[in-house]
Parts: sequence; structure tokens; C-alpha cells
Amino acid sequence: MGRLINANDKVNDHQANESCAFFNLSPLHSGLHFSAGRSPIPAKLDAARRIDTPAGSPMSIFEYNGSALIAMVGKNCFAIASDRRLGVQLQTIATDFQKIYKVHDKLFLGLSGLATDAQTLYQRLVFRHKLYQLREERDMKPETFANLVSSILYEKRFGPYFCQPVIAGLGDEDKPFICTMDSIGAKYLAKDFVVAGTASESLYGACESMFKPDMEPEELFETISQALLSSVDRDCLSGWGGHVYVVTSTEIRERILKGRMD
Amino acid sequence: MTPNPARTRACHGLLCQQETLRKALIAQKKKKLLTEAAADATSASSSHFPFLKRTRHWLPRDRNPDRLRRFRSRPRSGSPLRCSVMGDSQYSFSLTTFSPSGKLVQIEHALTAVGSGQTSLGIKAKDGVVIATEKKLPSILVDETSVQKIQCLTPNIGVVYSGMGPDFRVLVRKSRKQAEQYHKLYKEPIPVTQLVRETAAVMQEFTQSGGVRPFGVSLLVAGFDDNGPQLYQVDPSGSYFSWKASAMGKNVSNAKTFLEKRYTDDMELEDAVHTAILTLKEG
Repeated sequence: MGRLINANDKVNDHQANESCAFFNLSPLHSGLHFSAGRSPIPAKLDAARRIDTPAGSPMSIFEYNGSALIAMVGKNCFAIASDRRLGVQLQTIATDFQKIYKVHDKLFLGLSGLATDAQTLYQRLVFRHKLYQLREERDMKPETFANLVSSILYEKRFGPYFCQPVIAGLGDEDKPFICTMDSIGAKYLAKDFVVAGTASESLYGACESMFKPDMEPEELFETISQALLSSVDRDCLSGWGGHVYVVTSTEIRERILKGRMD
Repeated sequence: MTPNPARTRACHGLLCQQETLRKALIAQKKKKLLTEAAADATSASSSHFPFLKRTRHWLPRDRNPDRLRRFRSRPRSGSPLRCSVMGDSQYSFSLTTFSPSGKLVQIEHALTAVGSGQTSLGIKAKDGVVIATEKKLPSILVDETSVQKIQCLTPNIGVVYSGMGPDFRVLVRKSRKQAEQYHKLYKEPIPVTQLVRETAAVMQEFTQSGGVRPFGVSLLVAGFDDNGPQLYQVDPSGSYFSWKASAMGKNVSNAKTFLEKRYTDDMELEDAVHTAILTLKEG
């Protein structure tokens, strides 16, 4: 599958450059060690977050398993996609690892970062949501769920879960809602797309150039798939295909992508 | 802070001593009473008390010091305990004990306290809820602005009470805190049902813990949320009911009869206010 050829390629490249510059100043990244490949703090990683690789140079704990996540907003629909690799540093262990979970029919949660924390956090959140459903006899709205995740992450402020969640859902009147947050719960709402994981730098660039507002579900699927596959190609820790959910008010379509299997 | 082993041993020793002393005392009493009973059985007066032979003249040993003290101070007359008649009142001083008829008598007393409080009522209208009570002050010298009988729990939930004012203040404080905790967690205003459930849980806690008494208030919680206008009554026992219209306190039967006659499902808010005032005037 080739890249989508856009009419204004030059303009889009410029936008991609701008988005990278913006990324360097983003509050999410200052002081916290998650990014693709290299840490933004070159001097010294603290012991809790340093992992020694066979190659020698230390990795961040957020890069131990590898992941790539995107969520995008379309016209009365949203799409959420992830890669499928589970690795232990540089060795691939599984190629069908689930990173996106359904909380309820109109709410999806993607968790990137350390796989064990992602699974535990998911179990805790599902527990809270089930109790909420029993007590209040209704499903949680995506905004409410995002606040819950943020509180739960902040509870562990001084011994955090090493995950970056991506939350996507349909809120009141089926208005799409997406947000991401850092590992201690700082919410970042967006109107267009959010990305997370080791491939986030390339994901930002790809999404910025490929995104258009108000896309229909089919076009949204094409866009998000292209953005995901082209970005994970530039990241050694994520890849091995893709897993895409496109959700409208009436249906959920789950698709598996086959990209470069490496 | 590690416990001092010598001290704990000494305390333990003391406690053991106390235990043995106590056991000895009780054994002595038992013996004395049995011999008395035996003596009575042989004497002529035993015909008046045929059941004296095998009855226990003491309550089972229990840990509540209040109960034990009361038992010791009761005059030791010849008449035995008639459990079936005096049974309920025997259990009326302890909250955490069921009476033989299956009631928690303290809660009944709490409801009596509520029933002697100032009348309060609530009416659910089509697009809102009205709660009302009369602010009857003990004297004209009281500053009426300082007395607040109707309070806000959240910007869209209010509450009125019948019964003891100070208990009401404590409950309002706890409920407000719970509503705020919910908001802090979910950034959403708490639904009325959830707040009522949590308040009722607090009130129920006080009917099952040691050393506390039930709240002497019944609350009427009125709120408006995604499910429309709602009115709940919460009792000292912790049970809650949803009402279309309800009254509590003095003259509750008159007020309820009046409300039954005047209530319609599609009342406007203004009509509901009018009806509330009329009902209060009835009493």
C-alpha cells in the first residue's frame, strides 16, 4: 500500500515540520521520558526508568515493550488504531498483542507503554466501570471516563503506571471525543487526533499531514491505517501489522492490517 | 514504637487475675442463688413461684459495661424475668441488639424523635421539586437569618429535615463532602440517586456500629438531574424511598391526606409551591 498522494504535498511537508517543532515544546514531553527511540533528557536517566539493552545504551522503561497508538475524529465517528507487536527490548515475542480494549459499545481505551502496567491498569478501569454501571445503571460518558483514568493515574504520582492511555468515545448526541494523557494523568484533549507510544514522533508527523476534518468512516479508516503503517515503519519497536476500530453510532468495525512484518 | 514486653506481660497478668476473680464471683453468686432456689423449693413459698427451679437469674455474660452495671443495681426481688412481656424494653438500650420481635428498638425511638419534630414536606412537580418547612423559632429574639432549615447539598440538590437540628448539620456536611468527592473523581455532578444512596449508607452505618446512636432526623432530598426532578425520603434506619409527594414530622397524617387529595401528576412548579404552603397551614 503506497502513501496517499495529496495535491498539496509541499504544504503538508511544511506542516509536518511545524508539528515537529511544536512537539519539542509540548508540555507533555518536558520532564517525562517518553518518546520514540531516544530520551529527550540526554544527560542521565534515573535508575527507575533506565533499562540496559544488549546493545549498551540505556533505554527508557516506556520503550521496553514498544507500541504505537492513534485515535482520530471523523464525522460523527471515530477511529482508534494500534500496532500488534509485543517485544522485550529488541526481541519480538508476540505479533498479535492487544493494546486497544472496549470499555463499552461507545468507548474504547488504548494503552501504550509497559505491557504489564497496561494490562493491570485496564483491569482496574474495567472494574471501576462495571461498578459504575451497576450503581448508576448507565454507561460512563467518555469525558467522565477520561477523568477517572486521570485520577487513577495521579493516585500513583510517586510510583506511576508506565503507560500512556488513549481514550476515544462517542459522548452526548454521539459527538466523538478523544484524549490522551501522560503517565501521571495530565489530560490532553484534541479535536482532531491523538497519538501515543514509541512511534509517537513519526505518528505526529504522519497524522498532521494526512488528517482532514469531517471524514466519513471509510475515508477515516484509510487515513488512519496509512498514518499508522507509515509511522511504525520508522520505529523498530512497533509494527507487525495494525489493529483498527472504526466506531459510529450504529456499528463497530474491527479490521486487521497487514503491513511490513518486521 | 515497639511494645514493651515486660509491660505487656504485666498487663496480661493483671487481666488474667481479673478474669479469675470475676469467674469466682459469678460462680459464688450462682451457687448462692441455686441454694436459695433449692431452699425455696422445699419451703411453702415455692408454690407461688413454681418456675423458679431452673430459671437463670442473670443475663448471659456480655461485654457491655453499661448493661452489666444496670443489672447489678437492679433490686433483687423474688419475681423472675418475664421475657415475653418485658422482652423488648430489655433490648431497648442497646442499638446493636435485635429485640425478640425482630425490631431495633433504638431506631423506633429515633423515628419518634422525628415524628415530634417540625413538619416538613416535599412535592414533585412536572419540571421541578418543592420542599418546605415552617421556621418556628422559640422566641422573637432569635435571629432568624442564622437558622437554616433547608440546605443545599450541590447546586442542583437541596434537603430539608424533621427532627434534631444538630444531627441534620452533621449529615449535610457528610453529604456535601461525598458529592464533592464524586465530582472530583468524575468531573460530573452527582446524580440524585447516588447521593441519596451514600447518605443513607452513612445513616445505616450509625445503626450498626458500637458506641453510637442513630441520627434523629428524616431527610427529604430534592434534586434535578438527567433523570428529571426527583424527591427522596431518607429515614434514620438508612432506608430511602422515592416519593411524588411526602410529609414528615408533626401532623404527618393530616398533611399526607391533604397532599393525596391535592396532588396531580402534571402539576406546575407554581401550583406545587401553592399546595405546599396550604399543607403547612393545615397543621
